[in-house]
Amino acid sequence: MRRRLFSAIVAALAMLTAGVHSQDVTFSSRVEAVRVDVLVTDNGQPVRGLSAADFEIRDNGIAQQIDLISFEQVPLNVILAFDMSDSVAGDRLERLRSAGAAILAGLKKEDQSALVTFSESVSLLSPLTSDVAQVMRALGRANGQGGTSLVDGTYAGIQIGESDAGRALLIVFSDGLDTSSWLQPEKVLDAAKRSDVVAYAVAVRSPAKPDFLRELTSFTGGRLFEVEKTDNLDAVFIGILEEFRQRYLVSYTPRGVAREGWHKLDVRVKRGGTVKARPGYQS
Amino acid sequence: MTSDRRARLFFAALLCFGFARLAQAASLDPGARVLRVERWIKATFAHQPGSKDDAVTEVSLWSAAELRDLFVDESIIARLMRDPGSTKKILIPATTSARQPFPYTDWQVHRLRVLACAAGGLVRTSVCQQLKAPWEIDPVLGRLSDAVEAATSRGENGFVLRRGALLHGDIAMSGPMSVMAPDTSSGQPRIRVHVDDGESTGFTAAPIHWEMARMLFDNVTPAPGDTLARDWYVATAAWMQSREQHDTVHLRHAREVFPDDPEIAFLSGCQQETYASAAIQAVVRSAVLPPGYSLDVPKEPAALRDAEAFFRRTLAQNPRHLEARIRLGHVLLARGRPQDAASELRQIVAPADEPGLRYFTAMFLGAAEEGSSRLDEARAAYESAAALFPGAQSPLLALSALATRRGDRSSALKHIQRLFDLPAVLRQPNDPWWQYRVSQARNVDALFAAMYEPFMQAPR
Repeated sequence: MRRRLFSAIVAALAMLTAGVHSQDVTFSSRVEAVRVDVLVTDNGQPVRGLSAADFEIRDNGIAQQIDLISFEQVPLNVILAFDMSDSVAGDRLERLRSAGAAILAGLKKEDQSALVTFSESVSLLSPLTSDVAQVMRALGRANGQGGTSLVDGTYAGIQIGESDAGRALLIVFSDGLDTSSWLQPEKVLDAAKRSDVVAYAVAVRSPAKPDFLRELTSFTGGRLFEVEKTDNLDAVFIGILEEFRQRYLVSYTPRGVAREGWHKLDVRVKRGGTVKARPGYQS
Repeated sequence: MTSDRRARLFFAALLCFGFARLAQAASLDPGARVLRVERWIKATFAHQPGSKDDAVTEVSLWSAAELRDLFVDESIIARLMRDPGSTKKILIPATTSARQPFPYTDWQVHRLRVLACAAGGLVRTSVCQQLKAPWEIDPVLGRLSDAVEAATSRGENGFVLRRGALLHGDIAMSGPMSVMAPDTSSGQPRIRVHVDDGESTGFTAAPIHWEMARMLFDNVTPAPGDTLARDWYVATAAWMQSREQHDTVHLRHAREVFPDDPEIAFLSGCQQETYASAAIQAVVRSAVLPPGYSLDVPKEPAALRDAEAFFRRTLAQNPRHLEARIRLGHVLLARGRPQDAASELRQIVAPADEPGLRYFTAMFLGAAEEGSSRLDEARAAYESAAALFPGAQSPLLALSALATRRGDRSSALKHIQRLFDLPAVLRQPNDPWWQYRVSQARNVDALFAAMYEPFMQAPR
């Protein structure tokens, strides 16, 4: 989507705002640009050291001039959106807390994190903050009860990601089927297409197919992990963070394309390699 | 899905092929079998409808095999009550083929005739005199016969059968049972599928008591103005839906008996609407059942189509049925017809004392207007829902998503912030949307109270 982005000072902005977030959502004034998180791998290994000249981006088929490329320099906004329905209780809840703590422990001091939980009710247990301890405490008091508003909770997570100019990684965990959301999946997928948030999801495998999470992660350039059990959740979460840190943040100001509607993105690396990026954006 | 409400979903499933062997058939002791019929008749007389009394306890403890026998014996008694001296032909149960006549002994036949005399209030008739019924019944059956005779003279038909049906219904509602339920037409058992979080977690035999209750009501010819059977179907179907125990057969039979009843059509629509939900459809796709079984639940498009038809039937029979129109609007939305939905929902003026209905109307109208690209109207509808339930999260999410669609990020974030700022105490009453799938049964206690009320006053 067309973004209003502090293109060159994203990192600085994130650092300046770190630690001063209150419960309120903050708003940023931005210039129009499109940013795309891109993972480049070769034989499964991340490719490092690429520059803007190595990338080709086509927006609706029109080649674009890349304004900026960043790798690792941009602080992250990690939004955890965790299912706290009845089925997440006991050992599973403890493992989820442990995995959440593991990913929080992996954040750098300039990164921010937030915790959204959903059962029937969607709650912001901790707003975006660089105070990891605060999010840890919130995670410790998160508890399971009620049905599952997966779609609503995911939407709230996307909005938290949208509330700050930083680079947003949304991690959704759920172990069941949505039973109580008001929002239709299509509506939330549409919101995801309009955002820069990259969504990763961890779903406990069940007969109910995680179609929504599959589409969400596909549209945002993230990845869906289906796990049989939650025994090894820490490793999955840490793996997500490590993978996300290996991504390039590429931005450009669209030229020669219509403003409104769906923009199909084609991202390539000239020297080859496997590219994972969102397939497009809605403007 | 929440198990806090302990409202696991149950489905009645139809049998397509034999499921194991039924529990062993009739007791070999002819005396015990007929004695059980007598105990059942006395239990119906002693039972206070709506209470979990000794009669409920006694009958609920009977085994699957005993209840299967009783099911047959009740149907025989029901026919004998019309003519205790009937020929032996009547003693072939409807569920037994003519090539396999039921093995009643002569003594059992005689005793069943005598019991029918008492249960039918016919002890003083010449037929029952010839059977020596007055001398073969004990004082309890004697008082029962007098009570039946008096009730019949007041215009109440089917004294024992009606109370028997209520007894079986009360047992079915008193707790989980573990007995096989024969399908009355095929003699095959049915099973229930337990569902949690969109996943089948197992299956058990369906309680036979519902089948028995329906069969007993089928054998009553109601007196003019007698609405007990109809009220029972409405109340019990609402009860099932309030607990998310869905039984397709129950409402299907209700519709056969009461094809023009708007409430039964309405509850049928609610059932199909629930069947179309993601949680149920996930089970339809994934449930692993015993060989030969299939779920008696249609796929989503068919369920929505049927739901629409039932709600339209309800409105044809009662155009002022607001809830049917609200749900019709919701179903039309789900069928991708927002303009039709808006057309229905705009007609609704829900009463002030039904804030939940007003809320649903506003939310569905908001979605319908949004689906029709009338975004200002959609926002107004969602805001009115938010005003009705300031602690509800759905209107705020809807407003935020609507703003996102308009490209208004500031408003989208503002509405999300409103949601996060809601005080916990305000959120406690819950979002009515979370109760939508059971809200149609919110009056279930009143339905039962009204149905049982005449029995509270009845002479015993």
